[in-house]
Amino acid sequence: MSTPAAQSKSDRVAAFEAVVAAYESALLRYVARIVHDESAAQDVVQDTFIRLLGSWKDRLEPSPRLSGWLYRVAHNRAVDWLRKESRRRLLHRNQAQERRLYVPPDRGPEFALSDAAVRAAEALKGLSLREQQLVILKVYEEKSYREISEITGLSVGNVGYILHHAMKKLARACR
Amino acid sequence: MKCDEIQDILFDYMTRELGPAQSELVREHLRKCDRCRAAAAELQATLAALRDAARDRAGIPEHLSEKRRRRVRRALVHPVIAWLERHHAAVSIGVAVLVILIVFVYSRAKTAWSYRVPPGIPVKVLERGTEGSRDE
Ligand SMILES: [Zn+2]
Repeated sequence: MSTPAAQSKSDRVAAFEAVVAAYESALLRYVARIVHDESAAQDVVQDTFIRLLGSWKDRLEPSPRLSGWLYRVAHNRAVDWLRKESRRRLLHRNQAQERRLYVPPDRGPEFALSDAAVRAAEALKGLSLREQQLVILKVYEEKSYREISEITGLSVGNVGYILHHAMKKLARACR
Repeated sequence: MKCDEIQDILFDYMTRELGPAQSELVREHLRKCDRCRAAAAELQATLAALRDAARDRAGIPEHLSEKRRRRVRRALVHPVIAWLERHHAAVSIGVAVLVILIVFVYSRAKTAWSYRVPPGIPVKVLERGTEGSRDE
């Protein structure tokens, strides 16, 4: 059996760096698609890794269980951020500077997104947070129902059920 | 299987969540049924649009910023400092309250000190009728 004590301090630092390297991009992608704010996504992922240090009692190494834990914590922190943000917006809704103008992001000259893709991404934002979460995990991140069940705590059957209805809504919105 | 049942599992079928037997049932049904084929085509188009949207990385950072990476590393090496940093708002409020408390207690003590009865000076107690004259 390997315990945390079996990993010496320098081993643990190296192991942690490896975990960060393995998951940072995927987590940033996932969280940025939930919060739609680059800086908030950075904060959420940073906090997720810091929390991992305090909570993870097993050996630090990439594994399905660790991956599930990271997504779960990142998601919860992203939802916390969204709640705080909507409260803040409500508080400042009369202030003109709060109305941010939408600037289409610069994607580079050769990157063209199809109209259908733009419409689908826009329609996705209109779904419930739970539906968005499952669509992003399944379609964008190509996770299996089993992995999504691990992350969300929903049963596999429930994951499929919610996704089926979410996709129907998206198909209708994209018609 | 009925059309409704097929359409309920079309997404599972397209994303390879069905076992081989069920997949074969769906495939067989789609070969014969125009209505379900149309539903499948619509779902497929939506799925393709989403997958296309997934390529869009605008506003999505690839790595943790240098600042965040440093913070995470510090949490690993110096957990206490990292904790103070992360809870800087609460820590600042706590320190402010503590300073106010100390100033308050100190000024109270100082006031009490300046009104103290100096030691060595006996407190005179006037007793009625023990002396001949009384101050009026
Ligand atoms: Zn049919």
